[in-house]
Amino acid sequence: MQPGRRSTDLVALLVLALLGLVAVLAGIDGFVGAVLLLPLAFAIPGYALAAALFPPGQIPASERAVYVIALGIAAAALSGILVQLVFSLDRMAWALTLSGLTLAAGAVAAARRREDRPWAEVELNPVAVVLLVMALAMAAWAAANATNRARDELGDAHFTELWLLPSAGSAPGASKRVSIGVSNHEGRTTSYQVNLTLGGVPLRNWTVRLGEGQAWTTSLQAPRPTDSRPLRVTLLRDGRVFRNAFLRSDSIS
Amino acid sequence: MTPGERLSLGAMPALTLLASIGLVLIAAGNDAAQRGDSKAQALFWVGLVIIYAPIAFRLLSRSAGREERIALVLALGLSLFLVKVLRSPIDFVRFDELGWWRATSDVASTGHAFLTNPFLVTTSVFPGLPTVTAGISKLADISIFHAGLIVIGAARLTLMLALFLFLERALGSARGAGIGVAVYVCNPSFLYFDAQFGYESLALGLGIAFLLAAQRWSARNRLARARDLPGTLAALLVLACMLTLTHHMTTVAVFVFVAIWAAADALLGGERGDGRARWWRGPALPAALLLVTAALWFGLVAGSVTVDELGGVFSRGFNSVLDLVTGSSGSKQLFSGAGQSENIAARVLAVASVVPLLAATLLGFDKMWRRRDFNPLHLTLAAAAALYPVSLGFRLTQAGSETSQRASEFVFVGVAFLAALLIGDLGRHRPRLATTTASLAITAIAVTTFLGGFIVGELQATRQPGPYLVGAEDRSVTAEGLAAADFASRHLEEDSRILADRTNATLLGSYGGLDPIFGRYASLSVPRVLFSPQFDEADRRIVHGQSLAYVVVDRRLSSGLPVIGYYVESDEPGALTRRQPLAIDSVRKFEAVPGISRIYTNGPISIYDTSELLK
Repeated sequence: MQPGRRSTDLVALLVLALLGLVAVLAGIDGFVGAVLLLPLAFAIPGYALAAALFPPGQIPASERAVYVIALGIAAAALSGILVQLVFSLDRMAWALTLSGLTLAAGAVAAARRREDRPWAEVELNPVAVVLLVMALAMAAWAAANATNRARDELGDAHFTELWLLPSAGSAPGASKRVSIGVSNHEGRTTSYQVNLTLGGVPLRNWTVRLGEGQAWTTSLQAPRPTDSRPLRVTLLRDGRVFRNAFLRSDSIS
Repeated sequence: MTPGERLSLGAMPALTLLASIGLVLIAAGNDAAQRGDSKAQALFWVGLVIIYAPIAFRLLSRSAGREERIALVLALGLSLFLVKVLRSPIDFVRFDELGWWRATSDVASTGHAFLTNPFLVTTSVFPGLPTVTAGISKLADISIFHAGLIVIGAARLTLMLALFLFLERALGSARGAGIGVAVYVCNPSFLYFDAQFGYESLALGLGIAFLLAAQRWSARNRLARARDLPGTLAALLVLACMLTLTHHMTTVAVFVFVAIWAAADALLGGERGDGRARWWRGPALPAALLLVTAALWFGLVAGSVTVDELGGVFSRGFNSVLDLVTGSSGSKQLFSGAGQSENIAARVLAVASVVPLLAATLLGFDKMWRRRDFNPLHLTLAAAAALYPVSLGFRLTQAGSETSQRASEFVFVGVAFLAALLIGDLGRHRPRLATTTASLAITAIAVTTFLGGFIVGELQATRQPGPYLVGAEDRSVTAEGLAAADFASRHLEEDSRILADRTNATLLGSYGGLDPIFGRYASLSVPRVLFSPQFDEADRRIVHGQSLAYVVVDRRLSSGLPVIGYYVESDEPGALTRRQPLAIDSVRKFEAVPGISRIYTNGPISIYDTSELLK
């Protein structure tokens, strides 16, 4: 006689739900946290709900699979929407909600279960297993290739960012605190000359050498700018002006 | 299937391996496209054929078992979903995707739903997708991007499996169901639009699952299976609630479908196995459930947003058709725009893809008529298919393409049914060679329809990656735009109101956390601030009236016409009719305007602070 599954799957649900809760309580994150908690996100509650609504034998396994996913997503979203009316949906709230839902649905499923139903066996010969593993590997390679391509696409763009911002909370007076920033995305270490002027009159200058991906910022008191005497920061590279930012007004955001 | 039965996957492992080879070719093709290599398109299209054709051919065969067919449709759905993922593998870049990213990010960071989203207003009243995605992201401590892929991937699998089972029950044939699914994936929206991180992608899977449950509920001769009624009712209720909270159009489409089915069932269905006809034992109850949930939600919460959005789409489409019919406007120039033009082969393929579907629809009707098939569900599916020729007409209009695009994923359920009905009987009593030849021929036609559908549904410029293009959705997303959005998120006040072109508005409104403004102020179009050659009094009124703190200017807009026909929004001045790119003066004018400061620049993109003008 083939072994049944009267409660094996429900016990597994209980264990996985509790494991997920423990993982959140213990603050486990990263890869281990993802492995422990992803099933709890909707698959486990979905399985428990489908088991509660349809005891073994009522619906075919293929249809059950539809409800596991659809009801799992629905239950996660609907319970989250209800919980957020009262509590904030942080990680603990999600873990409690979804594991509570799983335990409740699992209890109903256990109570409604009357008979043993053996698992269906999937016929997988070694060749089929090899083919599927190869397919998975090739799909993973395609994804890795696409990821590298997309990252290279972003990395191939070479540019420099320049900004000139008033700092918040400058007190009234003849001067104003401003911050200047330069960020290097040129794909190589680059030297810049940064010149600050007021109405064309030099105030300060810096020489900055930044590696790829590095940024430089500074904050200083500068005279308040006006339309006729704007505060301007000019960025030079290899002796040539190639960026500038300016403040024309005193009272900008 | 009986308990303990052994399930065989047949040829599925080998065909899955073939599909993954197709994915490798597509990845290589996208890589070549990024480098401007001439082999790019060939690799891409061959990859698609390798994914689709072998599986379609096997689904046509009579020797495949039921479980193998189920495994094949899942492999097909997942493989085609991965084609979209390969296009954008590290982050969301489409307009809708970034709107939903913003909504999800807000739920994840605040712990609450129903928050206002400045550039995709519907997200605030349809919290289904952002809530479940935020939950996965928070719980498993993964990015919203990866959580979104999991949700949409799961929805895709649900869609494929539920559609198979629904058609199987309707047709009484697993082979017919497999054929139907192979036809369904030919709809123009399937490959990219319905695989994006958006509420419709999730809703489609939920909607078909609802139909499956409704079909179970409505089954006749239920005496032997009455035990599943309470569970089915509960599943219907949960799915109705979730569908309503996820997407308006799918809710309406599913309701209309089930309502028509219920009406047909009431008129033609006759009695159910218990000896009495009870309205609530048929599709009328699922229709009523969905009506109540939708009426409550739309009536109390989402009504005005839904009317604005759907009303806008349909009225633009309707007016466009009216203009075409009355001669007020010409037809849309098919296959070309803004310097982008399909080659002859693509045009032929696109046109050719429509013919088999129209033929299948018409011949399917004919077959139902000759059989005197008045099954209520069959009639309802045929009614859905009847909308297919109508939806094609919208494609000829300027603004109707969007209506046609959105309708296809619903209409194709009916088209798939009729095609399966028609093809299912072909070659039944013929010699093996004749059957194989017929299957090859039908597969070739199906491949044509599949590829042609994709050409119809997706702009040439956005099918594969490539160099920057003006106004070309994801082809306009570059490192500079992402850097500007990152700068905004770190240095500018959250929810500051800004004006920008569509791409930069999308990036700044999502990753940047700002509030892009569109539309009109008084009788003035807000985007005119970007277009006018000089910053004039009207521009000043708009900036002041709309409380714009920043104007973002992308110098590249003056380098070409926008591929999608507009720079900011579809009803901006000159939208879809522009013959010249934005003037260089327009992008430079902010340099000399008193009171306007340039606080950021990265070369092409500059952010101008206009808050002084708000005083």
